[in-house]
Amino acid sequence: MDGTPLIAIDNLTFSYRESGGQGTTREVLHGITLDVQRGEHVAVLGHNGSGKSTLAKLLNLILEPDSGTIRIDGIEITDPDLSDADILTLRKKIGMVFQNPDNQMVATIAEEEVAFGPENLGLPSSEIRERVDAAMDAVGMTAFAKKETARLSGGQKQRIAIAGILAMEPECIVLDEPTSMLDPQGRKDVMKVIETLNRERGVTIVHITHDMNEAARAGRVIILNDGRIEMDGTPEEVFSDPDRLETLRLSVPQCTALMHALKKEGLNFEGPVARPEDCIEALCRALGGGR
Amino acid sequence: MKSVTMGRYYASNSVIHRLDPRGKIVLAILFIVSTFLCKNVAAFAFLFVGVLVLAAVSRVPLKVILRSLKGVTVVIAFAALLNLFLTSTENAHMLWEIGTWNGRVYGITEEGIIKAVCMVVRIITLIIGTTLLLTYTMTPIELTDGLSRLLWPLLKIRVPVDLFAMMMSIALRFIPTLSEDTERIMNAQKARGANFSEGGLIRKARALVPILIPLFVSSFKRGEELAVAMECRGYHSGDDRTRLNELHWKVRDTVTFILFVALGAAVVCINIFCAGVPFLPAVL
Amino acid sequence: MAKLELRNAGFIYNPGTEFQSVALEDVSVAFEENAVTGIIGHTGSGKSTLVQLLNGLLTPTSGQVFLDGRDIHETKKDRYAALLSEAERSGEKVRRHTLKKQAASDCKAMKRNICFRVGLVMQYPEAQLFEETVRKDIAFGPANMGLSREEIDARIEKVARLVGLNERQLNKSPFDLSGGQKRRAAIAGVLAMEPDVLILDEPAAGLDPKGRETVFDCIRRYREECRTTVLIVSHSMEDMAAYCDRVLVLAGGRVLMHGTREEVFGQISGLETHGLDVPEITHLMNMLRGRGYPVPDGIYTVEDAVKAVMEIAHSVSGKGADT
Repeated sequence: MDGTPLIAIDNLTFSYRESGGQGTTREVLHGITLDVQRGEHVAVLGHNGSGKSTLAKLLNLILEPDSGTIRIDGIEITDPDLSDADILTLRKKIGMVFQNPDNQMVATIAEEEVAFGPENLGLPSSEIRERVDAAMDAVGMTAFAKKETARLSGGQKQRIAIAGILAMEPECIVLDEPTSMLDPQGRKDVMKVIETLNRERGVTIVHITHDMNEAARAGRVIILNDGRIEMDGTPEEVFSDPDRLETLRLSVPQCTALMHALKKEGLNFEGPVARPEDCIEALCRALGGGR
Repeated sequence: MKSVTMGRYYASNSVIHRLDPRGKIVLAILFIVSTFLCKNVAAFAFLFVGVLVLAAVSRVPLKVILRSLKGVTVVIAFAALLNLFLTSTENAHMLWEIGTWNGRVYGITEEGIIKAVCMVVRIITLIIGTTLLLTYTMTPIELTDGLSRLLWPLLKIRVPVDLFAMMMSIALRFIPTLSEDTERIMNAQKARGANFSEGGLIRKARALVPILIPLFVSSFKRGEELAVAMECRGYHSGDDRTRLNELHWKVRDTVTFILFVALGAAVVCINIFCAGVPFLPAVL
Repeated sequence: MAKLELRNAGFIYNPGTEFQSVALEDVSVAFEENAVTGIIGHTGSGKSTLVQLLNGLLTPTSGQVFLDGRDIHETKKDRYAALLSEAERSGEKVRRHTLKKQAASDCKAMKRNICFRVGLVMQYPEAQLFEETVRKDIAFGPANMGLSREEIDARIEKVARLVGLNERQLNKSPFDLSGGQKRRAAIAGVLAMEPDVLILDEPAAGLDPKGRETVFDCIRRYREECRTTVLIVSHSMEDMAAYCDRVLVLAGGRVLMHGTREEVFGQISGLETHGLDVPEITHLMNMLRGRGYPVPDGIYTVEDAVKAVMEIAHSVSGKGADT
């Protein structure tokens, strides 16, 4: 693969117009610079109001930045001369999944919902059919293809929403708190789908969340705080400083907390961990032998 | 979970389900016309049998179909009673005379009974036939799709048929969501002691404010988010959108179409040839 | 006597239709006064139905609900019989007519007041905000109770302090608040009714870690000040571990476990087999046990896990020193 990052954000700023006052603005992003490579699984963490969702909307041309640039696959999306066709191409490259599964469903029947994107692309119906079936299969919802979306559970709806994006064959999927309204089972299912897409299909994932355990599953964690990138690194690196996270109104996953506490107790614990499966290995090594 | 049963799609893969939606809309119109063409008992019986055949072919269980009639039992009963008691008693075969009022004799006549039965059969066939064609075997999307395709030529005179179609299908999609919202908000306000059943009309209307405002707020929010989501998925109006299920007029559509025309023609023939059977004016 | 109690309660949605579904079956459970009970179970276990039965939004299709020992759906006839036997026992002479009137008004009052005595904060309660200002919205419940202007104002001041809303925020439109503030304003609307029993359905759903903490702090402050019985429905075992004294586990519309936090969490690995989401730390300790280390069951906090691991470490190093 060539060296150009899939998403290249340079010194991006954005302000919202205040609802009450005339012409007053409130800057929510102050100079974000960020590259996302093809095939990465990035988690964007931050408390409510840290600018996470704004960033997502900027990536998909829903909002326009005040200054700075966003390049997707080398194309500057902030260019005012972009034609409608260019915009459609860009939107095809980066798909969005939102928090509330009910508010992004257009169709009554699951497979028609998945077909909505490809229909907008003007594909022939035989190809739409292929894509819909493949996307349904990828999220494990084939059995629900003819079901009414209203009768599905939250997790199932969210998987249909992901399938709807997948059917547009994007290079990257941006998910804005996709699990925050789901029950534990729904969360698990959606997380599994996200991870599989990334690992097996090489889809670049930008997962906006405020769940530490979900963030720990990503390859890279970016912490946004008040419109600035506060930390950027592997989950192990980012979670290595629980006190700093606390000041950012965030916490660390329980296994990271355990690791820090054990180190304080004097246990010789290898390296930082963020995921239970790594933690158990490190624990066994630290404890030695067992039995 | 509560469920709205009337007019719900019944998933199956029958011939009727696979018919072209455009065709089914036209068939429904043909069918409605046929029910109004019926002028005697024989014609009604014939049509009724036709509807039963349609139901059998569609593979929608009778139980489900009958449920759609539940909501209109009052209307059916009212129509039956009206015909039973208000059919002209002149030259009629009186079975049970009730009395005379304003110089008119009231009572139950044989003609009245026949008329009432025919009326009931007419309403039932009408409802079963149209719901079978338009809702049980057709998703709301197919319905709006079919309708918009039928009206597509109007795009030429700048009627935005595609936008109307999209609006319709989104509206349909949000009916269950909004009814759940309403129930949730109502429960939340009831839990704060709101009372929706007591008081006069004005008090009752005012009691709705705590429901309507949150409902508007949430609907606007839903609408806004939906618009963003649709834009992200590349939605744009115009006729360069394609469909997952393109409509193809097939042999089976032509065959069904001919069958329905034949049904209508048969009704007319029965009207003429079985004129001896008690006459019934095409009222209502 | 239990504050709130279900006796053999069951609930069936759409009975007699093909959409019939049993949400709760033969549930008998008593909630002690002043305890914080966590109600846990996965989607479809009957949690939401249970809380709606408890505050009278739903009437059980079988069994009864008791508040302070009185059936909340008691019929006039039963109430009359109860009053009559009470009067007979005390030997008081009361006219039957008076008793009948009394019974009727008692039942009416129970029906009307149940929602004020058992306050319910629904899931995503910010959806219920509707007034022009936060202050007016909080006043909605108390006003429905028929309280005086002064009393309502006093209560607003009190709950605003408890949930951490200042004067300026009280005079704002609820729609101009941030997500977390909206949630707290909505909760304040229920707290202002000063219910004997407070039920919260997923009070922290969708909030960030800090927002969650703030909401639970509000509940704790309210409970300390008003000495209320509290029921919290949640998917999160972490929240249960941190905030509840007792835990009720529902599965398939029935009670799976009910006891103190220690009792229920002592069998926590059993909960995992029922598809419940145990805290990550419990899961981790289970894995460690699977590797052959002597980890006790029932660990659900990081502190306990540290203790357990250090004990193992010491015993291992002790053995290591021997050899």
